[in-house]
Amino acid sequence: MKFNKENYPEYVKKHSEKSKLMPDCIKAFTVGGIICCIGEGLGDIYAFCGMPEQNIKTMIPVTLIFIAAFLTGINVFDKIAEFAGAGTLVPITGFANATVSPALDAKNEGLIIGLGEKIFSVSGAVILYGTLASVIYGIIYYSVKFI
Amino acid sequence: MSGIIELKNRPTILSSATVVGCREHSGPFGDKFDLFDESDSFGKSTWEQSEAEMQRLALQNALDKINFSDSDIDALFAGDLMNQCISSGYGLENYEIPFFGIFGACSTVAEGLVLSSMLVDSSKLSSAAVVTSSHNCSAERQFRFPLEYGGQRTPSSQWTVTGAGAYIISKHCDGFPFISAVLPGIVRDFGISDVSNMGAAMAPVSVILRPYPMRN
Repeated sequence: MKFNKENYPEYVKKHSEKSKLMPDCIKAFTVGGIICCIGEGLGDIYAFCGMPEQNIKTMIPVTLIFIAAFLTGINVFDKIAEFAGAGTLVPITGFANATVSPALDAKNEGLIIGLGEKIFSVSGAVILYGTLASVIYGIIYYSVKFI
Repeated sequence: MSGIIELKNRPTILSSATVVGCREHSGPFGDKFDLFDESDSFGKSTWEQSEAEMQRLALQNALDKINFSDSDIDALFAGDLMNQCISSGYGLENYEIPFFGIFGACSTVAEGLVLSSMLVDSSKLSSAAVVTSSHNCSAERQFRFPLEYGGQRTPSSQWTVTGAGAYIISKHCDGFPFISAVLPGIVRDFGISDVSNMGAAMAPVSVILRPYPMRN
């Protein structure tokens, strides 16, 4: 068989070991579900402490972000994520990890040029397109009100 | 044109040394390596410095094995995976040996052996050292994701080795391994864009080279 740029990537794809879709989905669903339960639990605790509804909605993601950032810092998050896949990537924990991990790597290069520049090297795409999407959504939402 | 360059004076590999990380040391060839560090850091505070230190240790070990010093080596051929080959530059900066920085990614060590053995064979140099290294932590950070990033590895993904190696090449001496011919490779891009699947990107090269070892 003569390989070229067209048929070789297909050949590699065909013969490479595939990710196991079903076990991966179950793991992601379980861990993602547990993270959501923790979020709900946190909400209940804050409500029990008498926190107003509006503040609870802010405090839940803030707490989850803190936990994810802390676990990233003590070299635990990536081990959970290796098992959970999308289970930790999709909730806000994935975003926290994507921001903290490049910051940890860049801290040796200085606070401004190193950490300051590189902290958003992975999560920058989420921030850019998230902001862009919210602007588009806002325009649509605003226009719909006039129709 | 075959591309094979025959070396009639058969330059000798006088000495070699290897330095590896913890993962490599615990593998099947673990006890074959000269030096290793349990923490992969080699006593340095950044991974780039650790990699540079590995190159220094590899060269020093290869020199020590045959009681050579700086003045016995005519040229250094060294390279690594980092930007501007910083591991080689900083790791070997204290040696007073003329330096050739080379880059060939995984083929850097072969490239160094090809260049140094040709120069020793043609008597332009009487001896040369070849040094190379890679460090998993510095390579992950440069080419893929941050170390603590929570991503899942695909089953086809591979692992950049934490290791450094050094060879001392000299004029022919009986009783040592020698180089009788070299064949520089040709650039081949077969369209693999997955940064984790290095094996698939490199495999076509060995397919093209396959007829070569059959010649004598």
